Amino acid sequence: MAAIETHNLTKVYGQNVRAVDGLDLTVEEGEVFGFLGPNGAGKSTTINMLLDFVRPTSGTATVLGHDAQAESTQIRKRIGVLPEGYELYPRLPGRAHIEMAIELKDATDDPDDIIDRVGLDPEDAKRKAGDYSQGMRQRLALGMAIAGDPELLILDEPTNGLDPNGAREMRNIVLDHAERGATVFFSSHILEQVQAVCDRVGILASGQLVTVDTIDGLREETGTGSTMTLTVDTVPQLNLSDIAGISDARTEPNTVEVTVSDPGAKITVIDRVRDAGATVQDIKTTEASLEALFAAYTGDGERTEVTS
Amino acid sequence: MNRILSIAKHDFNYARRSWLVWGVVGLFTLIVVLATAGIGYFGDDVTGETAVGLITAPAGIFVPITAVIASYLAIAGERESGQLNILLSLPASRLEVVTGKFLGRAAIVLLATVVAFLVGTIVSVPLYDGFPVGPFLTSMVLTALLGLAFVGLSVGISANATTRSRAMAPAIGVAIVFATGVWGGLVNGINFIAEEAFDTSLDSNTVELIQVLSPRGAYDRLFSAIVQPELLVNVTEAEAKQLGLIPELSDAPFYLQNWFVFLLLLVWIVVPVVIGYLRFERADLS
Repeated sequence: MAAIETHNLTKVYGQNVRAVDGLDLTVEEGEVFGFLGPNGAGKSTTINMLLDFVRPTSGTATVLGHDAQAESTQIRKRIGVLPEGYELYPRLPGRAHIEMAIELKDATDDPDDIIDRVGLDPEDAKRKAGDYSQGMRQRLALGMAIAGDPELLILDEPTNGLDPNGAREMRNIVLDHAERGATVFFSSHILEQVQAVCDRVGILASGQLVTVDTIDGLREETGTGSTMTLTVDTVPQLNLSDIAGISDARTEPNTVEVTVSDPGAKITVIDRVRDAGATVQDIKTTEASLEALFAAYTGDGERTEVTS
Repeated sequence: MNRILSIAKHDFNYARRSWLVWGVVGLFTLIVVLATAGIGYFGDDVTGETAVGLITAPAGIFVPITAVIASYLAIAGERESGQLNILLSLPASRLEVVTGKFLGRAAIVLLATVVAFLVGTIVSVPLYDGFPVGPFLTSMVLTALLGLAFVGLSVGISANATTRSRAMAPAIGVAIVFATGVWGGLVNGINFIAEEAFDTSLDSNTVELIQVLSPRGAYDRLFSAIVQPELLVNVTEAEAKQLGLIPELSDAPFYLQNWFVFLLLLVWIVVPVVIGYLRFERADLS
């Protein structure tokens, strides 16, 4: 049974604003699934339909085998959610939030245990949530989500507003929960946030799913590998086209630039250049950024590169 | 049921941390004490019966105000800020949320009413020669019902509103129309126009029915019918009925009998919440 399954899920606002447009999505049990897309792509609307905050115009959604609309309460007993645009109760201490989550989920967790798991200082847990920083708020909300050891975590932009350190810790908490066997559905508009943790990603653009694949699969599919640039004393006569795993090769005075889709091809290229009599003075490789890949799918942004 | 009580408990705990709510409760207690003990302190010949007889004037306005302030943001405020997203991410149905919120705010208003009347009793008993504690506590029960009617109205409004400001206007409107003399004035105005322009007048029972259709009207009527007869000092019950202090129930139609007026108050407590819930259940929340 799939953890999340949608068929032709559609939400139309007003006359013709198709926030989510015929979404067919399957998230398997036990996987960490990244739900990617630029802001406004329909990620939150999709999640809100899974939670029955928003009712679909057409199509169906099931979560853990339950109909998202008719059996929403049963679903929410078994899942943990970090919803979009949430707010804590500013006058209640952090701990009271965790207690409320445990109570409503009819769980037996020890609140202190959860506070510890999400890395919230026990002293801070006694303070009013209104005084919390963004990082503390997210930790507390995640603590409410993981109460009752849910089979599925649905996290809507969990790293939003966090510094890189906080975002990494957040991902670690999520991975920690996934290791307990839970399915994780993790939305983000930043690919970098999901690539490290997700088994598969789905990219949503303008309410439609443009692709579902593993990160590596995505790289291959779009043919963007890494680029290796060799600085040489002289450019020799070369034929590199017969090397497997090379998609492009260019030479300029003093440089040889190849685009490789298979990392193993790099050493073959270097050997070939040296065998031809050139001295390699420097090697530089640039990884095709996933951001560029993401931009290619969602149809916006420029191709940017990250030096590795 | 457990979840409803859990929501109600957390809601009560949350609302009781608001200074605004306790400010209004404190003010209400002060008003009840002033209205009962205060007039006895300043006027020598005021009896405890008179003091209790006058309690509906301040209580009839301030309990509804307390109830509206304590309740009108119960759902709309959380919907606008986003606490509702947290609550509804947990296993709570929308019905449980509305019911729990109603119970939480009802508890605040009941507590406020009980505290105000008990403090009023404690201060008044030594002050008057034979303070009528029984009738005073009966007024407390009626006042609590009136408060609950306004909790019901406000929670119902709150469940329908998407933002704070959209909850505020109707909540204030409801308090003005149904808790002050506006409704009664309206009824009398209609009757006056009927007499002047059409040379006809509404049957007095009909006028009274329209009066008791408002929660404040029902409250006033129940007070005159139940508490007032216990407070007569120098007049007989027959004389009081002739003076209009006490309604004549023996020949009154069913809709002016106490049981029916009670029912009307219960309708105010329950029906707005149900309507609010039904609209809330169908709403897209995001």
